[in-house]
Amino acid sequence: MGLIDTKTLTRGLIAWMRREGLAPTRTRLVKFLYLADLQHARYKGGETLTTWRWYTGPFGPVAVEALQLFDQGVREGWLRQWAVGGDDEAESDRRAVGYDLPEQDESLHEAMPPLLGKVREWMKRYGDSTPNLLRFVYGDTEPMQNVREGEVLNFSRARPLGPGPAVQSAPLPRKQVKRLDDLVARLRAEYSAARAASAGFADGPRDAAYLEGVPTDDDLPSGEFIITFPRSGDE
Amino acid sequence: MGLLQYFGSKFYTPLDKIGTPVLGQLAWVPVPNLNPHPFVVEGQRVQDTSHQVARARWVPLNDNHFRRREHKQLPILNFNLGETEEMIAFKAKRRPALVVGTGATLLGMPGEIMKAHHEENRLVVAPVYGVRSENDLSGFSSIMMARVRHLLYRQYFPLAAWRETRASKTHDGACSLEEGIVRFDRLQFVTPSPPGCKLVPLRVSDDVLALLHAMLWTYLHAPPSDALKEMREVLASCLPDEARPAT
Repeated sequence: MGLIDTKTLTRGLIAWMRREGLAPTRTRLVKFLYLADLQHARYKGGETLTTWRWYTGPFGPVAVEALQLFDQGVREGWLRQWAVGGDDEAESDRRAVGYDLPEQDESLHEAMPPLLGKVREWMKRYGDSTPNLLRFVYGDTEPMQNVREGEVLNFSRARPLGPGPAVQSAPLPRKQVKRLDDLVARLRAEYSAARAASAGFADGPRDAAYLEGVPTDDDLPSGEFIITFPRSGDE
Repeated sequence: MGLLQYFGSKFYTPLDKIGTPVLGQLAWVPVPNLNPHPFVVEGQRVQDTSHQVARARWVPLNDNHFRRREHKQLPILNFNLGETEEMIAFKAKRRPALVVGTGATLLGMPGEIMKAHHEENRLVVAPVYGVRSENDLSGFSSIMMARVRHLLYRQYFPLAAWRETRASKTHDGACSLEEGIVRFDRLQFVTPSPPGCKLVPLRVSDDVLALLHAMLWTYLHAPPSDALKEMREVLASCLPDEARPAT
């Protein structure tokens, strides 16, 4: 890894989140690591920063390597793990686990590559709501398009953002502007003539026979149903 | 005398085979029921930790849909919805439809393997709605059928019944059709391949196509030709009394 190592990247993302007043939960941190990889892949021919094997888990993109790195960080003391929510088994799905830095490190802000500025924008936009962050990751990032749960993500689908360099039209010569003015005037006259001609071409009556005789489209009642989706490898 | 009587057996021209879609050809396509008030499908996980099972609610579209908003629920993977996207739900029915536009958006070389792209070889079709009957209460009334046969409405065009005598074994897609009304106010775009679009080896005749073309253009703001105006006058003078509006 040339641009930044995974330890510094992880610590830098936590520093950014805290700077933005956001709680660096494990789910969010994993998602911002994924977005950092995506942003790199978009401009570096599909190569990720981490080279991790990302796949789709119950909460979107996840890499085993990311979780192992967090554990390693806690063991080595460069990450501090915290948890909020109930401790008993029944409330385990409401418990949030997250990570912080043992102490502030201003140098981390300098270490983050400029390419990841977009990740910080996303952090500001989605970082305080995990559902919104996941919705963005699911719906608006290329590797997640049309994947099933359990499927390995393909970053070669990543494409640079934006429409490409702007293509400016040259100013029109005065002679051509005059010609276009004349043509627009002709088209306007044709349109006016068409409107006038159509005005005499009246439609049939909108009377009781019309209102009763044209099919109406029924409204649906509100309701709900259950959908079951296949996992990767299911038929 | 209505248009269908006038054209009689010359309303249609059978085609030897389905082939490449041509103007005036018939096809079967799913036609959405355009509710005045659209419905949105809102997905919700049954369990927070699984994408496998989702509870989908369909609810009337409201001002919060299609906007960035604070989502309370985790998203559903297979919905693949972006932050300002929604799933719309509507009923649909397979109906006959008349091809009124072909190949307008196809660029590139025919036969070339195309990547996923916005460019599509879509057909423009006008769906056909049937006559009200004991079996289908949602069709047009007989008064409206009569008025349309006399070209009283720009958005509607009459379609004659067709009794198919050719076997579907020898003529793929061959089928009979009931009398109906071609609806320009329900134009839609379809990809010309099954199951979304099953072509029929039948098209309206050149004379019918010329009239249909004139009516469609008029529906789309073009000035009516003198011939069309005169034709409507002739047909209107023959409108049966039962179909005349009360004065």
